[in-house]
Amino acid sequence: MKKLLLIIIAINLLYCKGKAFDENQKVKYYPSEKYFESNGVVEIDLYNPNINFKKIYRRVNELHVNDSTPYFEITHDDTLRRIMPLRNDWGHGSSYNILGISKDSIWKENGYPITELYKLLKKHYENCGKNPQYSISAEKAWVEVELDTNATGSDLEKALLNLTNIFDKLNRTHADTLELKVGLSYFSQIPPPPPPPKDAENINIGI
Amino acid sequence: MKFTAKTDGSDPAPARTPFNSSGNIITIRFNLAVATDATLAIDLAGTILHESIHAELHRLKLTNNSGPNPLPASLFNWYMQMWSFYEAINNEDFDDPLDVLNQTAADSQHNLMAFRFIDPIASGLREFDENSYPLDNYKHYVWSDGLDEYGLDAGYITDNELTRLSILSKIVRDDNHKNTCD
Ligand SMILES: [Zn+2]
Repeated sequence: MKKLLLIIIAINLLYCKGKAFDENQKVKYYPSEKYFESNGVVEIDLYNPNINFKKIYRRVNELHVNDSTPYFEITHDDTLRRIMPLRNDWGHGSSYNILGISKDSIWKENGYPITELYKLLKKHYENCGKNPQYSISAEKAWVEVELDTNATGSDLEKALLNLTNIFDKLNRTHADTLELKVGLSYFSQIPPPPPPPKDAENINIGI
Repeated sequence: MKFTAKTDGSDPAPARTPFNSSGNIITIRFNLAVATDATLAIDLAGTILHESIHAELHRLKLTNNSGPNPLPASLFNWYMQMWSFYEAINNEDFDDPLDVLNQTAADSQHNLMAFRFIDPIASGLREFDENSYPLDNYKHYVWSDGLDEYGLDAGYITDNELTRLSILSKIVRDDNHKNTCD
């Protein structure tokens, strides 16, 4: 009987790994709690072994199209982070409002290593339209995360954890008034289309 | 063509023009969470022109390049080649046929715009700004409407050129000249 009880406790502990929630745990919302107040909030489980980055991207956009609010949950250092990824499919935001990052790079101007993320996030969020290649305002600034289409949920978790940690550091200098908005993408991995016809550059298109 | 508006804080796109294969009306839907009172008039004008070109390119696809202003045949053929190319990829990547259509339209049309519509849109913005500056001063507002990543990938523009154009764009924004809606 004692053995059985121990097995049940062990199974429960295993099942709850990464999902454990205690009432004293700090919860942080990205962009902010108000985005989670709608009825149709749906968690996308990053710990699901059958899901990869491309599937997560698809699921995020499908949920948005159906007027639901997708989110990820990440627990680390006694803090539960709830992150709502933005819709980021065939529509497009203004490029200057986007700070694109991958596992090791930042895509802005001629590119930066990911180790400069704090510096670039600060420049992006504090730009207020000064440099036309960075955000027009802190409210409209967002970060686009691109990982390999086959990357796992854990890879995305790592990238988001790094991003939220660095963003939180910046946000503390703004009395926690900034909101981190995140979108997913795999744009750079889509193969190039057929090239334009040779003579097309000089054709008059009538406008 | 019809203009509508909604407010969606989870969508960073200032406007969307979905492909409508069943009806005769193409709708441009503005997102008031992004296209706000604080948006510069020149940016808003750029978005209206960009989305209107999407609408016109939807029409040309649906009518097989019929008038009043058809594309030159070689350009339309390239547009259709890209359509087939992206449709094959998007059929693998998306379940919903509507997602396939919209993603295919966006990819093929953005390539076409990055290749051949930068100057015409910039020229429209210059006219809107009462021809205050040379054409290059307006091109940043066209590229930054989601076309720069297509232009960079295809080699139509470089990062250095985008930076140069962004510097030139500042005078349009910072001068005392007021546009309607500023
Ligand atoms: Zn577009």
